[in-house]
Amino acid sequence: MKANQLLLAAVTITPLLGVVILLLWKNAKKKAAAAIGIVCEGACFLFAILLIPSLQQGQSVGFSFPWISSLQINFSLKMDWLALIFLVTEILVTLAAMVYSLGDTDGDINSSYYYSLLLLFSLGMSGTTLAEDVFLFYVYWELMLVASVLLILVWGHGDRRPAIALKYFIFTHLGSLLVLICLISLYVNTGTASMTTLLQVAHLVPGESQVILISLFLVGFCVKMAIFPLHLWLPDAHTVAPMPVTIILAAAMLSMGTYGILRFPFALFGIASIQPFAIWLMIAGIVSEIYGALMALAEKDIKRIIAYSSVSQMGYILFGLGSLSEQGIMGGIMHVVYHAIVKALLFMVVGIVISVTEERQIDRIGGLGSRMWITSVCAAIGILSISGMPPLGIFNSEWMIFSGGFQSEYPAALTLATVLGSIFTLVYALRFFGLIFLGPVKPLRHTYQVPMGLLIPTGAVTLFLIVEGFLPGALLSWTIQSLTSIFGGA
Amino acid sequence: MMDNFLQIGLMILVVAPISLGVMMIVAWKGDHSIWLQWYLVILLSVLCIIGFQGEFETQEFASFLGEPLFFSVSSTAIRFLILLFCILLISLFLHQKMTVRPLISRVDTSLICLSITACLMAFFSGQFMLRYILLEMIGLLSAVMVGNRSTVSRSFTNFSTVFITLRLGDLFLLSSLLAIQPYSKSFNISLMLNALMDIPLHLQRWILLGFVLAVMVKSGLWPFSFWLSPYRESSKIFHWTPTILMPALGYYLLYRLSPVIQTSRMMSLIIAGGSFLVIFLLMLIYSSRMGKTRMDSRILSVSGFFAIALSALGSPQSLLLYILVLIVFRFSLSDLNPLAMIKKPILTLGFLTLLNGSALLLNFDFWPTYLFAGWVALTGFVAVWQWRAWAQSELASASAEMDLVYQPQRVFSWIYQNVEIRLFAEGTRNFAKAAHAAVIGLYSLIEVGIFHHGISRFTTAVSRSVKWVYTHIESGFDQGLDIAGNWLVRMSEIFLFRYEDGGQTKARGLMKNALTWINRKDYEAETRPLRLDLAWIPILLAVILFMFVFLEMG
Repeated sequence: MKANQLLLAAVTITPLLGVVILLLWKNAKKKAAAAIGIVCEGACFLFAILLIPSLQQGQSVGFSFPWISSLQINFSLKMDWLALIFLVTEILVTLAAMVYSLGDTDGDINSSYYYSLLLLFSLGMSGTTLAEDVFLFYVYWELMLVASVLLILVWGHGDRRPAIALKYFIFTHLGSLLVLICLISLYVNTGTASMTTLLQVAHLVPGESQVILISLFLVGFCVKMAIFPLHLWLPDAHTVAPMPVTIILAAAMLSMGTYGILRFPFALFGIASIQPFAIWLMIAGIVSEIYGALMALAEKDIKRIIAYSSVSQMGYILFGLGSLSEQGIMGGIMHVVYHAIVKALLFMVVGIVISVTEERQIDRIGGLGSRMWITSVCAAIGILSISGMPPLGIFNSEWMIFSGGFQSEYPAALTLATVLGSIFTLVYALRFFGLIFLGPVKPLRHTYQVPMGLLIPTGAVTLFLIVEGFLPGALLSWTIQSLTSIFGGA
Repeated sequence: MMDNFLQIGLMILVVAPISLGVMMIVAWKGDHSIWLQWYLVILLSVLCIIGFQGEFETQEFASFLGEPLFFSVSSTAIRFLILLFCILLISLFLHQKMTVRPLISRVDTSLICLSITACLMAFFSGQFMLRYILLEMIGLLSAVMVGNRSTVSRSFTNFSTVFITLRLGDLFLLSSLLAIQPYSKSFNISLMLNALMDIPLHLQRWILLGFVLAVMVKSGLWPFSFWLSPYRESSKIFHWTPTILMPALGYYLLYRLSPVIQTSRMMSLIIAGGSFLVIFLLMLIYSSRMGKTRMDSRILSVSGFFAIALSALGSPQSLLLYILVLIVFRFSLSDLNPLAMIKKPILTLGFLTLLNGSALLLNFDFWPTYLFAGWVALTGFVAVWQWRAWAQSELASASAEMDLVYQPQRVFSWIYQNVEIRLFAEGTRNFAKAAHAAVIGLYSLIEVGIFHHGISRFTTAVSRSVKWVYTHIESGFDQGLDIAGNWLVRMSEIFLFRYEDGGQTKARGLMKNALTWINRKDYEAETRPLRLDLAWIPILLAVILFMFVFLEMG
């Protein structure tokens, strides 16, 4: 095996190694278990970064082993620019969530299992982005779901967690089943499970079947993206899950839906085949954007406010993809990354507020800016960013999405609706910040001390957000390259 | 060599205010007013020197999202900047002369320094993306300034009002910019404006509307003037960014758009719309007495709409002069106390005459005669009505700042009450309330009612259905199987009885009967007396046999 193949294998083996160690060391204390998790994720991040030079040199980064030989199904992994963007985002978010978990009380019990599942969750996402075989893709896709469901079920908050975990599982699994139907159908029609080969032969699938497959793929992945009205699992799952899991769910796992859309219907069947669906994607995006923002405006639970904001933000992404323009798709991909960073930051802030005040209802919290000024600065940067304030991250991606909308061949009124609809994002973001951090102080506490374990990762993510916003060059370059890897240089 | 020198100089000029702000924050804790004044004097001197160099463009100094960023220094921009910084300098000077004045804190200094940097970059920017970013920054700074200086209870409301409204203006601008971009393939301001002239009419109309709406919001023109009202509550020195700089940027945009507007088919619509709003607002002003601030706001709106009409009708020089004087006029209406003391009706009238007359004088050779006649009438109309309005505002006492005294005998009071008060003032409030109620309703109805409860009900219904299926179908199957099983068993029994058991019994009976009969017959045979007479039969048979033998032998 070549060095880059070893590195690629290491990206998926390292979390497994961590899981094995943690399962063997059942009585590990939380800090020790977290340390193992953090080291594994850190190593994965390092390995992923070390692979960039190979991609820059145009080398193929991948390997393949026979898995089910009789069916020609292989254990194949491959990394390209698109996979790199999602992989790095996912690993960084998991890393940040694990560091944040050190200051959090979740996972104090059965820590080794908790971090094992977090690593499996991360592995599921890594594998999903790297899988080159469609069945391997599905295995990782489901691993992601199973790990997250167990985390919610065992370490979640409230009495309703079994019901909510079940709801989350059923909803997302239904989406997964639609995806599975498509994958099997592709395999049956083309006789191959390799994505690389599928890129060349997918057009052989009859036209009517293509339409059905694209529809099922889009609905299946939109469930994962929590696009209205397929978002029903999201607010509850986000609310009940332990905070690190919420961070990963919102910041990383939602983006897997976007990855799926880009990797399957877009890349396999090409833009021309997506054309009939484009306007519906744009409309669904607008509805999701505005609906999510309005719900965030009406919601009182601070965790749910940010959860609904995810529904809204995914709407922007879907709109960008639906525009079918280069700028729009690039904006959508960039939005995934920026949204991940901002959402991680906002949930971290919410976690701090809940841990300090022990309150979740926004009307029972207020004036914390004068007591927790570092947190309030982080929150301010977070809300300005999610509102699309330049030059903080999301502005860049929104700019490209809107620009893509105007460049598309569809009515400019749709893009205008998206642009003007973004004012609702600003309104709910300001409401969130204003009610929590401004005005009279409530609830009254003896101390408003924020644990350093929570504050340091929050500050680090804030800093990263600012840097990413001011210097979008690297991400932009990766995104341009990823378009090439999706559309094969078209 | 000279170009490089200018470029570096320009960069230093732009970066200097931020550096100064940081230095002041770190180094000096006292009143920063004097330092800012000295800095502004130096800045003005440098701007004058740059102004003498003529117009030039810098090389690309950075790129953002693949778009090259560069500065374009024009004499117009220099004029705007010199005027704006002079106003800031005068404000600071007057502020220092006040006997009771709020201290300019380190936060205030940093905000002003950031505003100066943003102002320089916005006016020098040769690229719309950069200018848009800076407009957003200035909007945020304006909101932070009002939030920082408002009372705790009003801080958030004021901040939100200013920020959201200015953001709305930015979104209008953004929509227009992005709609042009596919045609211009660039965000270079000159290229975009040139491309705008060639855009299909139906699209051009909407783009220009977006620009005009952005100008209206940024300049605080009616009905978007409400975002300026929170500044009444804050300390006056911090007005420069929101009330002078922001409108100036709006007017500067209008000035740049003027050539496009004049060549578009929107020209007549903008003239008509602008003129209508001028007259309409004057009627509103004339029809009521109102507090001075509201009156100032209306007068500035009248002048602003005048500028919009002029952008379609007048020469660029007249528009520029009008805008520059309008900025001075705006400053003269501000409440900086020492200046308010010297504010006399005659001075105001002088400003107004200059303001309206400037356009008149400069457009003498520009317009056809029939337009000129109309312009004279309109200008005279505006000047007289503005003066009357001003005279009315002078009558308003300080205690009646917010009170509105209607004059029911006036014809226009009906319009005032119904349009201004009911439609806009109360209408906006009611709309906000209704929108909020609608959002809550939407949340309750769809998210909670349909989705959340719907899912619960659906789950319950599914559970009940499953129970019913279990009770009636699954158990039915069980019962059916039981019945079928029983029936089969019974059938088997019947068959067994009939064909297996019955047959056996029958066979057994037959056998028994046979045996009994045999026994009986045996018994009968055994018990029956021997019949000797029958012995003759074998003897007879033997005789016959012998006879046959003999016969055969014979």
